[in-house]
Amino acid sequence: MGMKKNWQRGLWLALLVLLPVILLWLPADFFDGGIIVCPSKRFFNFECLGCGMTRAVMHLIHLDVESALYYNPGSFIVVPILGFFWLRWLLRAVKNIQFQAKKSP
Amino acid sequence: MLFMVVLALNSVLAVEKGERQTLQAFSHAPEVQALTPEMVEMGVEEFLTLTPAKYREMTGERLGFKNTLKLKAAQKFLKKEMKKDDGITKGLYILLAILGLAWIAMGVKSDWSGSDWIVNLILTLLCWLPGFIHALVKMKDYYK
Repeated sequence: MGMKKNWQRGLWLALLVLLPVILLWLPADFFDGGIIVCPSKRFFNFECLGCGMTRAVMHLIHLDVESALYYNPGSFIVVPILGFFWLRWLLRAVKNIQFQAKKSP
Repeated sequence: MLFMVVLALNSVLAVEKGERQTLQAFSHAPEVQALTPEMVEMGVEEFLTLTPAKYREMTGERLGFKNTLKLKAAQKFLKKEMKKDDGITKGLYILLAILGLAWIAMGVKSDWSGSDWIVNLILTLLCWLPGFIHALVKMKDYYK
């Protein structure tokens, strides 16, 4: 049971570390030509507040500020919030693993 | 001679359909007036897919924050203008299909020509569901 939990913690930490690395490794326009997944846009041709957020975030983390502003200006609020939560989860995951390592001899 | 007339007629029809329309047709609008000269000379379809990255590729210059916002406003304005000409929007089409009136939408979209709307009317009379499915299947022909 304890082993499984450790394994899960390790996987979570790896995912947290790898996610931004993969996103930064992919080109900024990776999601630009993708299919429309927003139901509001797909069925009613109406752009909701979240439309273009994936593309905007992708461009913003690649420091392409103009494109981020073009796709969704809300990304300037969303990216710092995501960054905050990512950092918080990352620190917590590292702490949990350190705590487990100290606990088990 | 006849060939020339047909060619001229074709080009006039194409312009009327908005296939080769440039932004100069909308030059009265302040949203379009605010754009850079390179953008105004573009075709409507090309302009609607323009992004700051594409602009950078085309001209080698950065668009800047102000122009990015102007570009977005102009694209929004153009989409709205084109929607006005469109008559029935996608949302309304789906709503009419749910209400069993998709044949009206099909008729209006095709100027009551072709057999789509008649087929849909007959299918709708067969307890709604076949007509609804037919309307959804045919939707891609009207909205590209």
